[in-house]
Amino acid sequence: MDSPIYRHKFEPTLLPGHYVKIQDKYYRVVDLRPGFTCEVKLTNLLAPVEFSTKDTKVAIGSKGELLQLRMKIFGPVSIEARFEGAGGDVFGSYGGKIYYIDERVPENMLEYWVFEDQFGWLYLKIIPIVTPAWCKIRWLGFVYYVEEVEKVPEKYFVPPYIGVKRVSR
Amino acid sequence: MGIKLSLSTTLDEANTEKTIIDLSNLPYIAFLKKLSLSNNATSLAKVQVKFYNGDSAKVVLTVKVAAGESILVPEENLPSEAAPTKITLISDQVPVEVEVSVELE
Repeated sequence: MDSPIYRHKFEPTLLPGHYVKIQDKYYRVVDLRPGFTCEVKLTNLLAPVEFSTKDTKVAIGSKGELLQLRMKIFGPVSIEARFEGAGGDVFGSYGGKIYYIDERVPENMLEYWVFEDQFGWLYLKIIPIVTPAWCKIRWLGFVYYVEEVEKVPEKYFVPPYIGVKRVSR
Repeated sequence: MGIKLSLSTTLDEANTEKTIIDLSNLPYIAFLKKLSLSNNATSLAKVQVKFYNGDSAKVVLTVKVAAGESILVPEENLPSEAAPTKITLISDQVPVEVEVSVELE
């Protein structure tokens, strides 16, 4: 699997007319828009704090929206970031991947994909390095409007984490 | 590139401590980019810069300015860390004129 740590300029990966596979279903990109920048700030952190983009409704999509997001962390904190691959009961169950981030990371360090408010959301555990710590998170990205297609396209993009349906064990 | 703001104020008898910027309800953090002080009091003034993180505050910079003198704090002496909630200035002598520039991220 590719690392979510990006190494390329932030441009839309998909364009209208492209196809994408999400949760083993196929979608056609109908439209593409830049997303609003989204920012969250937490202050006076004395102990680790949990933050879920799904619970807080931050940086998640509406119906028919596929988001391509990058995020940057500011502040004297380390962060455990877990991408929720295919829903399910367990937080961050996808491969048990944990990425540690601190304030030395470059702008918009992590890149990930979110489909509607169901798949690809992010679970963060924010751990103070000093106390009291503070943390600011900024998201920016692109919004793709997609519609499901019946026929399997010849060529399609598989976004990491959310492309394939996870099998419960 | 953040938002740059320049502000000027005076610490006087009624306000020996003043809030330069309050970001409590904003998703920004502030970096101090310029600090200029003019001491109009008759004795040495000790001016402290405090950064607030929620309710907790810490002094990040102390500057002493002689009576009748002005000082521009060199940029390398300004704190490199950001203020997440609030920046205040406090002086033991007044009046002191203050000019600051902050950058919001």
